[in-house]
Amino acid sequence: MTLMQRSQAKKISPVARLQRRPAAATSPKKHNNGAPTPSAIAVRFVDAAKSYGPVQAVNNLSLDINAGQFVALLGPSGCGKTTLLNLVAGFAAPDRGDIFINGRSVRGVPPHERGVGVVFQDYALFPHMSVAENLAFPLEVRGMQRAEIKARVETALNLVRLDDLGGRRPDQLSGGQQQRVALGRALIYEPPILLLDEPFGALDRRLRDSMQLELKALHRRLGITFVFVTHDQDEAMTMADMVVVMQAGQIQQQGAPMALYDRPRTSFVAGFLGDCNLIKGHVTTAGIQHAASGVLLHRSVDGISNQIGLAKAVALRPELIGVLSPHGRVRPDQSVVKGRVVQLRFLGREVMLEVETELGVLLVRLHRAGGESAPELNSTLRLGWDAKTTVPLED
Amino acid sequence: MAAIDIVSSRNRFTTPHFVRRAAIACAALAFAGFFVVVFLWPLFIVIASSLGSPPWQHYAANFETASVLVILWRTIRMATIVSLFCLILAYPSALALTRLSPRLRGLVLLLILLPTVTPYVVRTYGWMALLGANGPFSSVLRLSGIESGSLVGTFPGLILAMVHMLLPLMILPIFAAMRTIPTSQIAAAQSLGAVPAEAFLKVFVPQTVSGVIAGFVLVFVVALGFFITPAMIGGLRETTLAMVIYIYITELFDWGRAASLAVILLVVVLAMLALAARATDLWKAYGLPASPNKRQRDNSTRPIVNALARLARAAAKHGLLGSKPSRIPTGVLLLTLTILLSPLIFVVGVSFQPQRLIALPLHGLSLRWYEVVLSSTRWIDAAAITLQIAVLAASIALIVGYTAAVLTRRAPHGMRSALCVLFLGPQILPLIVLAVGIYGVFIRLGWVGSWAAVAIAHASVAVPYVFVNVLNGLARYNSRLDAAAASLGARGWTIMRRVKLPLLLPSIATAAAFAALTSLDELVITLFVSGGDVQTLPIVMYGAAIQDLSPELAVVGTLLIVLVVGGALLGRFMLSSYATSSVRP
Repeated sequence: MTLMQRSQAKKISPVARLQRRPAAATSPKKHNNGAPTPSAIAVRFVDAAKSYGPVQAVNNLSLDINAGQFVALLGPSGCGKTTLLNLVAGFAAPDRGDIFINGRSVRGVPPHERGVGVVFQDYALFPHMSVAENLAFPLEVRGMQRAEIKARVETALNLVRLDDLGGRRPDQLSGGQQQRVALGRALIYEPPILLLDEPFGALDRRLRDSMQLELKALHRRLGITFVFVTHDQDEAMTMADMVVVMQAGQIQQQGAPMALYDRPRTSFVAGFLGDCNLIKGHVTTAGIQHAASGVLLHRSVDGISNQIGLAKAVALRPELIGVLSPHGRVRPDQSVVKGRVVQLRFLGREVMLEVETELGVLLVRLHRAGGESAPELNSTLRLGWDAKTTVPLED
Repeated sequence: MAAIDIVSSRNRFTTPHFVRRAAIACAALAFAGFFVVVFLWPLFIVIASSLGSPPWQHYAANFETASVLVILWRTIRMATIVSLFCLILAYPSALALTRLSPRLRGLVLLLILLPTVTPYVVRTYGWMALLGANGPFSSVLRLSGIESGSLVGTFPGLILAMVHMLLPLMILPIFAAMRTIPTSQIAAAQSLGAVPAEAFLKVFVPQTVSGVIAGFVLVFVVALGFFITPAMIGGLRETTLAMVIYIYITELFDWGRAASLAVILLVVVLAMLALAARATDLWKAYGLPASPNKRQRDNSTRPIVNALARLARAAAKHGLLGSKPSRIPTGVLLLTLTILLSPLIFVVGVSFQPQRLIALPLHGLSLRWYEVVLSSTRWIDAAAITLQIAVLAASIALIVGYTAAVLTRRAPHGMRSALCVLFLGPQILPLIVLAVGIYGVFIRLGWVGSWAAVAIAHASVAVPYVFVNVLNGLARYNSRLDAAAASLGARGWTIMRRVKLPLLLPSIATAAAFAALTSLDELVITLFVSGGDVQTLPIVMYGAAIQDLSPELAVVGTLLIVLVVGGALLGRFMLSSYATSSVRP
């Protein structure tokens, strides 16, 4: 009776049970020298480096991840993002540098003592155990009492909406259900940090969308730190509070998704996050000008006034370019260029044009707010954009 | 209307259509006849011969004296000990294999499979020479002050040689089970808080149990009915059931007693297989594609595993278990390779020594024995007839096995298991039981002593390899390719020639190689059905090995090793697909 009451009490508020508790992991080794203050920063990389043979997977990388954040590590395959995850989980040790979890160095701490939750790309569910047994595994190895395990498993099943499937084997579940089991198993021991390696890679598009929403909701409810690895920029931007763009073992840029999209620092970030026109020019007293045509690419010398005469590229998002009437007036700050439509893609509310101009082929995204017709192939257009909205790039 | 009817009905009997149907009917008859002659009828004869009047007469006679019971007990004890030793060596070896780099793993697998493509008689001869009074074992023991004499005819000697013979049979299913476990699962277990030893025992080991059971049963069943090695190395002191059956038939002509013993052996084997089938997918163990809807719950082993895990955790807490992977598996793998390869190396070494007696250290090198062998009509004739039989046997096995595989693929789902039992039957039965049965059939047909009949008998044990390899090839074959080729305008035969056969070729080539090899190596059935007239290489070698350990045998063995290994290395793809698909006991 008591047990039933207990489990029922838990059922009423599944979140409460999974709410913050001191991490189960108490590492025996404490290196507090130079460590950041605990609580505020969940994970800190300090000059971490890791190479596999000749491949430098992570190259002198420093990064702080705040507690409670939802962080996406974004980059093309081979950029080192999964290695970063492995360094936190303890599946790999850094060659140089150090990693702190909740202010404590984890150098030499084996994975089973880190208390970090990991959701694997292939889920890594144990095929010889039922769903409930999979969920119970981390509690069993912690030596928890049977009754307590039973209650917690029920709570977790409820949390990931698999209430009636505890007796099933992993191979009897759909992809989405398997992923929920993997999530439940990684969360059941209340880790302070959850690591997810390409969590949606194996799901089809529709399922992916719903699981993304579910994961986001879960993060809001639990309030713990989520770090996930992805090569899908849309996924990173819709899910994360902070996106860390990586390339060749180093961080290219980090920040909130909107900031990254609007103010990319490098051509890599600009090109990786959404469609972007990268146009090369050089710095003049007016701003950045295209060499051959003299078209002003960017109107301002803020921060680059000491680089006059040097080559510099700007990023221009396709949606910032507009089609002007053939002989209309040009506003101040507006740059204008003529071109011929060479490619046209219809995307419903939007039309994507490729226009051949003296700056090269420009991508132009036209919003058909009123359902007006799009320009025709091979027609000549007059394009214009506000020269203050372009972003000068560092490389 | 009527005229058209007449024309069409006449066409039915005169056109190629009818000829084709008749040909198919004849082929079907020959196909069915093959399995009647080499499997069903032999089985019937063994069971029928075992019944006297009253029906239990021979069985009762078997249990009147203690000697049969003693031999039965000894055979089971031998098979159990051999299986246990194989398991102890195979599990760590397979584990070490999974940790090797892919390149090195391929090489080591090749070395593990190398003995299995070397004829049994050659390997057994190698052990006889190794374990003999002048062999290296006795020499080493003598140096350390133990006067052991020959290990041939002793229990430890027999066990060692048997372990060598059957070890690959244990390693392959265990390795196959281990290879399917993604490393992410061990990482997952550790991230969830399990110490490495605990992750190994609770996550890794349970998933290998089915492979262990499969390997154990295969080794046990083959060891129970094994004839060559016990007869040559165990000798009369370590008589096994298979040897007693052989003696009852060839020396005492007592079919009733022999057949009743064969039935007892058969029952023990089938009981073992039935038990094992509850815990593991036996079809997979015999190399067939995994059967669907087969879920295994290894609940029986769960308490043991949990106890081990608790122990591991306690040990880890007290710092008794290192977190680094242990070096023990690699050490065991080296021991395994030593056991598997030493007789081969020894045979090759002995073939180049000049003396008549095999003694260590070797006194110089000489090609003397090669000259003796190559100028001896006895060896040359034996080689010729062996080759002749191997070609015929492999051809029969290829045609029958391929047809069997295609039939099984096309059969309705419910019939597949029955067909598999029929087509794999000659491999599942203990070889000695099949040999007695086929001998009975051939006596009744008057085929004993005919080389073609020997080839048919060899084909019976070769068919399962062809069947398994082709069935796996067909399972991997994407049947939509047929549709694709047809949509591109290809007709039936063109599709077969241009698309299907080239893709199935590796499977068929492997199948052909192993069919020929099986025939080249067959001794047990041949001993019965050759009637002393068909002197194949294994028969001549067996006779020579029992008489004396002449280096001529080493020369023949070396030549066979070179022939077989050279052939196998030429088609390395054959070996690699062999490693994953089928096992030659």
